[in-house]
Amino acid sequence: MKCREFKRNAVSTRAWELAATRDDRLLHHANECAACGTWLERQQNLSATLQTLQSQTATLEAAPHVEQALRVAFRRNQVNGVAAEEQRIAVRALRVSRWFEWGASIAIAAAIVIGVFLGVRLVQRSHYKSEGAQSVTAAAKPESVQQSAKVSEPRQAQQSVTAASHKRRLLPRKTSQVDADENLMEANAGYVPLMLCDALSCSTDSQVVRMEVPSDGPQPQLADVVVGYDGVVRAVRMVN
Amino acid sequence: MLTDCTDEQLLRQALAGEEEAFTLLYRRRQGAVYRFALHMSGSTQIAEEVTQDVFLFLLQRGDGFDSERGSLPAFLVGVAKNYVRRALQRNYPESVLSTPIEQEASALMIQSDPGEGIARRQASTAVWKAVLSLPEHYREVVVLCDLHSMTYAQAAESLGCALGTIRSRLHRAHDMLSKKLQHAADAHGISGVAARCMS
Repeated sequence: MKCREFKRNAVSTRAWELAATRDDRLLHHANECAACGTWLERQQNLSATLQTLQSQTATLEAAPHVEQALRVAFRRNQVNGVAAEEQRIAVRALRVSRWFEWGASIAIAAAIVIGVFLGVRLVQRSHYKSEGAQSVTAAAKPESVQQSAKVSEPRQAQQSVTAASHKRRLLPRKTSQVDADENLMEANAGYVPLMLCDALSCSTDSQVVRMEVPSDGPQPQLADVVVGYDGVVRAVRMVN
Repeated sequence: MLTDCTDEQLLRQALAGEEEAFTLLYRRRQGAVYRFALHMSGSTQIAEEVTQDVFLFLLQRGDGFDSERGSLPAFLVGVAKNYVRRALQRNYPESVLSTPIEQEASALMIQSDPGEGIARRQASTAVWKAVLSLPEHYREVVVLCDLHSMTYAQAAESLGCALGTIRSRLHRAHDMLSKKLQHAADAHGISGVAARCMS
């Protein structure tokens, strides 16, 4: 055995095993090599001393007050654990009620927003209605003045204009879709769109003017003319 | 019977609120934890504090213990190691480990053999003092392998390092201890058993 092997074997052996080693190879090398022998002797002495220290302190234990303190801590921990569990449940319930609170608040807010929106729309609608009625009357007046020269029955024509004048956007929007379509068809019936004009659409601002057109017969020929917002005639309908 | 339960079973019952299980587990394992802390710090005060802290830790975070990763004693020693380190860094300056240890060690050592003389006690005290003067990672392996009779594998498990690391650290620690003791013997001229131990 060489010194290197001796050290390797000695290191892999635990101290207390080394102290009582009966490995012949180790002992033989320790006898032959002075350095390794001294090292082994030191290790054995150290090991013996450590064993002494170990045996002298082997029965040492913590003082009884440590155990008492720990038992108190254990009980407190249990109480705290129960309290913490109760607190957790309460917090969870609080969270649920908070969700309800939030939900109620959101619902109220949504109701307020919808109410405000509907109110504004209602005000706008009434405003448009009054505005539409004024504009129809104002627009019908000059036309009727023009017509009075040509039409034999100006009063009747003006009434017809007033009756026939309309704004589609003033139609009540709350009516059902079927009613709206029927009104539209009724209003558009008999009208002939003029060339280079957009297709007749009653959704745009327009008004109908009844006027007399030249005719060969003794009776005056009357026609309803749809005049757009820009003054361009969009469509015409012969009345008789 | 609780006494037949393993450490892991006792821990489970203790965490479920069984005080008796906790007490039994404490009584079964407190000695090793206390001695480890005492050997590492040289102070009974630190050792008691650490023992208490370790079991409080077990009480509060014991559910984090995984028996597949190691045994409960190794786990406790690992926790104790951290608490000892913290205690030494926090409260106890180096002076604690110098003079009081001689008195403390003398008081703590149990004379199993009435014939044991002062010289042997002196030698043990000197060895303990030498152990305490080692750097921490060397001290740990000496305490676990030489003073707690742990195998290298158990020490590696407790300290969370490789087997080879334990072996090399222990070898180095023994060399350092031998030199320290030799130096002490030369300086104080200790004779008899102590001198033989320290030679």
